[in-house]
Amino acid sequence: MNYFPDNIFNDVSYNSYSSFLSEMKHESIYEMRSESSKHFYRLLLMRAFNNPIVITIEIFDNDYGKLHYIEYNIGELFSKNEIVIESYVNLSPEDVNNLYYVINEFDFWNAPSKNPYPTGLDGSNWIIEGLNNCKYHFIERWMPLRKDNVAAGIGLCMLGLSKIKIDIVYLY
Amino acid sequence: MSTENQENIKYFPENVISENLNYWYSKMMRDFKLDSFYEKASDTNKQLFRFVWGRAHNNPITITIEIFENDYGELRLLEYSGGVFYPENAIMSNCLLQLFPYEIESFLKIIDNNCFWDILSANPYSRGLDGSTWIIEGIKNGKYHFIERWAPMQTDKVVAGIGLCMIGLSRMKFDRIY
Repeated sequence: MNYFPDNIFNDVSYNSYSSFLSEMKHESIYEMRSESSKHFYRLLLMRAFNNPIVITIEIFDNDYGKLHYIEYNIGELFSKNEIVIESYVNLSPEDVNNLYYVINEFDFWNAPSKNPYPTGLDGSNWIIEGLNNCKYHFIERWMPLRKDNVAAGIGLCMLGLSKIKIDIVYLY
Repeated sequence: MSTENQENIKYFPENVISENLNYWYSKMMRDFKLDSFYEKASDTNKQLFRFVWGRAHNNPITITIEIFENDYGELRLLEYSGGVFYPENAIMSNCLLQLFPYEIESFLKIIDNNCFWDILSANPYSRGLDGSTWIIEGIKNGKYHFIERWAPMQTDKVVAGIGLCMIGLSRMKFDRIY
């Protein structure tokens, strides 16, 4: 299963994100791009010292939506990759409109997929995917909160809609 | 379960709170399709706690904690619709999370240090309009106990403390706690 288009990530990142999504049995949004009815956004938040988080939002034709939040354990007390929090939240049209606003305001669909900023060790990687009207796009950023409004804005909006308090969002 | 059977569910012991309150609290719990801790207390070895948080101007919430024999636990938070956008009592958020032994230990300290099992069940304080209803139930070793308070944040620090601990363990953000 292909989770992302080829030749955008380096091999290490591609394999790492793809294998994580595959091991956790997440669907490939990229491979759904021929289905016009599918409308999804997904945030993959890989944190060096905290549990990885996947937030998927599906938007329906009636402008309502559903958010699915999953947090996996990094191996402390529970086994590695065991689900420690799983949450479903129904989104009202108002919630969905807020998400659209951020996506449009930051021009998500035209933002470069590949991280244009320098990266460092540790920190956090934010991968945001979108699929609407058969158009698939994704962006990958390292620690975007201080330098990339697109990933930071959309990611924080998705975290906010989940209503879950996040221990560390990695501000710097 | 048939509607008739649901009507017969007893959620609280008789003559502890007024008939009127018993009717309304039981109706709320039936509407949320909750099982009766009171009825199942004698048939289970489980250790369970449930917080039913009815808020006048926000969606109602239930938080249930089950404590396992290995000192781990599980928390489920359900948020019901108040009728805006979704039909009344539709489940808006359904969150399940695992609790670590240190979280369970902190929670049980609050339960034990505040003598939860001996706290007066019926609200001894005055009530007002609107506000919130806090119902906290527990089952342990076949014993059932519950307490109900109206907006306890200013009046009953013990009940507020237990409820706030359960809210904190849920890791959900709330716009207003009252």
